[in-house]
Amino acid sequence: MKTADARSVLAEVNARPPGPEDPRIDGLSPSLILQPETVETAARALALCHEEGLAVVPLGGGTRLHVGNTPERLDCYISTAALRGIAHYEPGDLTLTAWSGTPLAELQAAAAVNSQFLPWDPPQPEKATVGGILALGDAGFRRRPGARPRDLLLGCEALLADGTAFKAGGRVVKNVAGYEVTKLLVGSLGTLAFLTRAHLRLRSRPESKLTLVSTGVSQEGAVDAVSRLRRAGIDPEVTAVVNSTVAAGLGLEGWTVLLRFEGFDEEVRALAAQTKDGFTGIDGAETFECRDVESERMWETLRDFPIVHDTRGIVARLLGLPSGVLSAPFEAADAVCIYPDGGLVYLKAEEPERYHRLVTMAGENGLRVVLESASPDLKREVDVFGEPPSGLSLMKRVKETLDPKGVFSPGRGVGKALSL
Amino acid sequence: MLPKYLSKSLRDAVDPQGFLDRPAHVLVYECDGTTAFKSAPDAVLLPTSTEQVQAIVRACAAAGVPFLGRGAGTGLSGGAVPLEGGVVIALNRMNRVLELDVLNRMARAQTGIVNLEISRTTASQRLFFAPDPSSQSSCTLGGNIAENAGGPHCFKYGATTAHILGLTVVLPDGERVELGGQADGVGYDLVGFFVGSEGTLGIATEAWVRLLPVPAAVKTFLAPFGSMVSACEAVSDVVALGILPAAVEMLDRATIEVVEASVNAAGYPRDAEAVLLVELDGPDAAMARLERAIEEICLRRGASEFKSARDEAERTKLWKGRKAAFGAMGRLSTDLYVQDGVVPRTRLPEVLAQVAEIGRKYRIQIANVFHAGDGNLHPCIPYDGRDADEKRRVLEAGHEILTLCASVGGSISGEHGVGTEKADMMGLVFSETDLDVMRRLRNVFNPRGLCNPGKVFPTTLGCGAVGSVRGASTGGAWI
Repeated sequence: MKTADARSVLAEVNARPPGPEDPRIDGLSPSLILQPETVETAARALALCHEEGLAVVPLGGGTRLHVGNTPERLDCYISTAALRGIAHYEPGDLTLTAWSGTPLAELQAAAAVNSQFLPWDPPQPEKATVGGILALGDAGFRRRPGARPRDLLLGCEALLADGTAFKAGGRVVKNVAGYEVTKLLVGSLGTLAFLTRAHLRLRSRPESKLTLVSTGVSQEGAVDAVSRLRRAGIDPEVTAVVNSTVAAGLGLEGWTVLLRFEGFDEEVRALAAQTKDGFTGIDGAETFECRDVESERMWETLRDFPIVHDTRGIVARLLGLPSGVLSAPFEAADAVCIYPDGGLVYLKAEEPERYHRLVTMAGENGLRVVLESASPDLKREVDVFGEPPSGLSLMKRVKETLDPKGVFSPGRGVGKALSL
Repeated sequence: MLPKYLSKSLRDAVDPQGFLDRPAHVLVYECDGTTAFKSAPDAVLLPTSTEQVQAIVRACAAAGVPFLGRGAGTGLSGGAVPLEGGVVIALNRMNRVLELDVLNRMARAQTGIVNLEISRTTASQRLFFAPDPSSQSSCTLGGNIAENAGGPHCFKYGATTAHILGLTVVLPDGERVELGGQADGVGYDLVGFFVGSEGTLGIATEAWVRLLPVPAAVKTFLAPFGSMVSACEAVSDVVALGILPAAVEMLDRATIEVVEASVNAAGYPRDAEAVLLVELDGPDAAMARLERAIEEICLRRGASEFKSARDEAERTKLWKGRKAAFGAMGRLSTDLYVQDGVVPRTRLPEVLAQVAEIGRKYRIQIANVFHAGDGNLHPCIPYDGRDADEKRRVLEAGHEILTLCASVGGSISGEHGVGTEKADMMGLVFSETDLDVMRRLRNVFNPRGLCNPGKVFPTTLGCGAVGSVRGASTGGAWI
């Protein structure tokens, strides 16, 4: 492309060098930030980057840009900040189309008018965007099927690395026409495509919410209580088990179990009562119900747990079976949040050396460690996703077929050595 | 005809009874539930292990002969038809639950297992497998995975994709790969991509499936209405109240008449224009109040009565009529064409009116039975396949219905898949670029196109031309 043409393409996407306020990835900054206002200009800018062989990282609210391996190369951010707003909303169908740069809080406010919501609770929802949440594939503490990003993305529009616009899925809640390309995009960490619009399925706001807190227990006591609940077929909307460090942040002491019930009033009260019975008899446990502001404050604290305030320590995610994540030994961690549904643990450790102990512990317990935040040195040294997953060669071919020149987020995904 | 050397290696790959190539034996495998598309395979293989499937696939790949996996053959889009002949790999002998993890609510099963058998096996632990297509007493897990099967209860619980955690897949070159697993993994969601790929990416031989606790209480209600519109409005009112029923089904007058005249008569009032079937499940505590709320909505919207099943026998009977509706259509004619369009639920009344209009235009009878909660229509068109003109009108009407669904922002398939039937209609909902992205992804798994060829992707240029519906032949009831 001629220099003059390239200049005009960059001008129409408001290209600028990054400032001190712009987020970095493991200490790295791009040379340019592109902020397209339309899909067409975004497509032209990507085509230019593709032609020039530049490395482009899609940027949403920048709240969790640290998740993933350190990029091998980083030339541009392509920001969704100007692709923002609700494009279409059908309250009667519980479906909504949002531009990818829409902060989640803005979407929730639009849906709240009709007593609807998206059951996603990522850290900093006022900043976290729809596109970013989908790229990460993680939306916080609701881990049950039906609430995860992969369950609620009905379809989307996106740009390939060369700027080609395509769509996947549809706008209706039930659809099996064509391949589930959306499933590949969710959780792809911006390595496959640049998402521009998302068709989402909403939920009706529950009539009643209640949190049952059981505090001052041992880890064994907590594990035992939660396992009994699961056996009894009681399914809270969210089950969280936190260690004493996290509990202290909630104004509580000792290992603590938090169960969030949502639904119709009688249901919620009956389930809480039934559950409470199951908790009596656990040594030292104090069990109480919690509603409204008091309860929401606790969940917001848990919601924001993965946020990094200090890169001297580490934030990691552990993946495993519900039973496995509950009973793992967590001596190597300082702060621990366990979500047994979906088998997830969030943890923090102040000393980076603990990472290697964590990996050893995880290996012995059949868990996988995903390192989210750490010093740039540590992140460069390891593959943050751990051992390559089965199916890696297929994943590599998926990447190569959609982004053969490695424009999108090179090296950020799994299989660091393969530049996914 | 397969080359002799291939027949020999295939024969060697399986047990002595696992190889069929006599015309009378392979004829059974010439079609699935869509009898309008027929093409017999050269051979049928009945493997008993993943290793045998690998050996079969390797032999086919080496000979360049097409092959496909098949479950019970209940599919409704011609997805399991060997359009180019070759080898059908029928997984029905791989039908066991291999592991049950009660605490983590998961099971590992071979994919030839019948859907309902999974829940039967896990019932003693009060766990069940949620996907429930109408054919669940005969369709297999592998078929459910291939089609991302739905069913009435996927309104609440999600289609098959929400319930598959991991897969053992034999890729089209014979390599075995484990995708996903019991725990959440890292990297691209290949399990999510594989589910619903209609057998074109490989053959799944085992799966880790998610199980759900059997709900404490279940209530089933029936409400007859004087018009489809008011029945649809009642559904919208129920959803607007924040109630998420386990299922919301509707049958129109034509369907009610057929069901009531059949052996599965469910006691639906014959003078109603629409029957609404609503099921709630979950904790017992709020059931009574929700029942009253739904009753009030139905009566306010003009229901002539509101019936709540008093016991399991009544509940089963109410459902039996719905689940057997397609089968009961066999009373009407020799052939049946079932459509599977989806529209936004709020557009149902206008779309149903236009569907009726299309029926009049083409001088055909259309009976509607559908999943009202998620806007998934199943217009059923009985016809006589021996009457070429009638058959043409039926196919044209079907095409017009799907065009209508697409035009209001819907889809050409909610749960039956694209298969052979709708491959040439993909252009109604996807651009050539969208399809190209999918083709490139198919080639990642299936670069030579030997695995289930001719499915999902349009084969002709003018996408959706009725004249291009391939292989449409006579005979059989298309249920």
